[in-house]
Amino acid sequence: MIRASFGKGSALLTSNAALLSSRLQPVVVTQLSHTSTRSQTEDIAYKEMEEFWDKNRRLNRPLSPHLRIYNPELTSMLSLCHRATGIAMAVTVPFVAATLLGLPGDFSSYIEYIKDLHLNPAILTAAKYVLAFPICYHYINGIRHLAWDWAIGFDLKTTYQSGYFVMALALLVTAGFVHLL
Amino acid sequence: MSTPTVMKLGPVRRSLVQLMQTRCAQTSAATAPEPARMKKFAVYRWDPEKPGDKPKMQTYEVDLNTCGPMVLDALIKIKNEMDPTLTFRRSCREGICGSCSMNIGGSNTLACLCKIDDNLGKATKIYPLPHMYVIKDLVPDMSNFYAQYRSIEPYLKKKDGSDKNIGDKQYLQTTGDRAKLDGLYECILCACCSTSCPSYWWNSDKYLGPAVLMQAYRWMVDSRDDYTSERLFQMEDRFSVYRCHTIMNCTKTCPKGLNPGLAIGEIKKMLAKYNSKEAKQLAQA
Repeated sequence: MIRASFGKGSALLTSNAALLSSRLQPVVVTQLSHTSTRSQTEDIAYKEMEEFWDKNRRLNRPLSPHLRIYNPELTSMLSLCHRATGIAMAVTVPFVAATLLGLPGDFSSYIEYIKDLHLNPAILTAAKYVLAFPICYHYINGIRHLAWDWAIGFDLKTTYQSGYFVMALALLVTAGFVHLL
Repeated sequence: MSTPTVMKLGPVRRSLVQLMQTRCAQTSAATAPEPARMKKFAVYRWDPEKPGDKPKMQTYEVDLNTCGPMVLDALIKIKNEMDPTLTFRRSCREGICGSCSMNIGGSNTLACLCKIDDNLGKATKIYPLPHMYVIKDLVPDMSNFYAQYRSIEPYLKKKDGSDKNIGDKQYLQTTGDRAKLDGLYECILCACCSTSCPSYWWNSDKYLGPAVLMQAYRWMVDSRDDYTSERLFQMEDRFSVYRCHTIMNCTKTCPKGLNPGLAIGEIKKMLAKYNSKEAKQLAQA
């Protein structure tokens, strides 16, 4: 409905990363998909929105605190975990793959190298947990997300129950991978 | 209480006087002073009229024995007796107007419905709704929220030209269709849900937020409204609906027990299933 064009009126930016901070209030260029039939009500609404950003920037009002004061809820923490594990995997898997492609020898020689370091088994187990948890958690929570895409399990009780279940199952499967494989 | 004076009265009067004496004695015993229960409230303060003022927390101590049970009672008591400059919105004091929405103890809720935590060892922290421009103390600027609500056209739209004869006939609706509105129409637009959503924090200019989206859904699913496809088509862009990542903070925090997360999930389902080409033609017709 609205696409924002940044300051210099250059290319329309649609990437999420660039729009991280809402302090970067861009000039809101309303390029609607149905501009020709936009009703008077919508016109008034968009005008009010522009005035809101202009006024608040001009008055230099403070923004009320958010991250540092809001309660960490199960809902937001599990969602954060899903995002963090997703990003972690999306970054490390290609990076490791590309690195191994470039380095001499295959991965078994590097496994041998780690074995020869004779590290404390506790450190190795911890490392295995760190490697196994993201994929287990993200996969199982992914199923919960798929259910939500079909609008199943949205009531608060089910959300909380499924949340606890997903976390417990993810930890269980991770432990299974680490100790049984 | 059988003093000589009392004994001289007739039996009916005597028993009445003795009853009154006993009741007075009971009442005076009951109002013996109790030890004060002092509760600390740490409240966010900012004054736009003071040049160079920075937002800060101010702590007030309230005796819970002389205060009503809800946080709003405490705020009003502070304003009346301790600090008249404390500024906050309030109206109905019964959880129906949505004025007193604020962040209490880390969660967004209505101050008039939030019971004061009896634990005297901990201070109750009160902040304005998160990630909103602050007008003063606990009062946020809600204009953007209201403008977003206006943009979804939250009113009945008919295609048969019957608005020329509005009020002549009732628009009939089956009980099944009316039941679809339950859980949607009760929203009081307090903005607790939208301001609890991290996605709305980062994109409050383009993402509509759970409150407004739930009302958009309320009109999409109303059998009397003829513009369902057009309403869905209005959401066909990257930001209006699709910044929702099902974080579900909204449903957790709603003080009226509603489920905006579900409404957004249903909108996404409808967007996947409806005929968008047809809607585009209709919209541009």
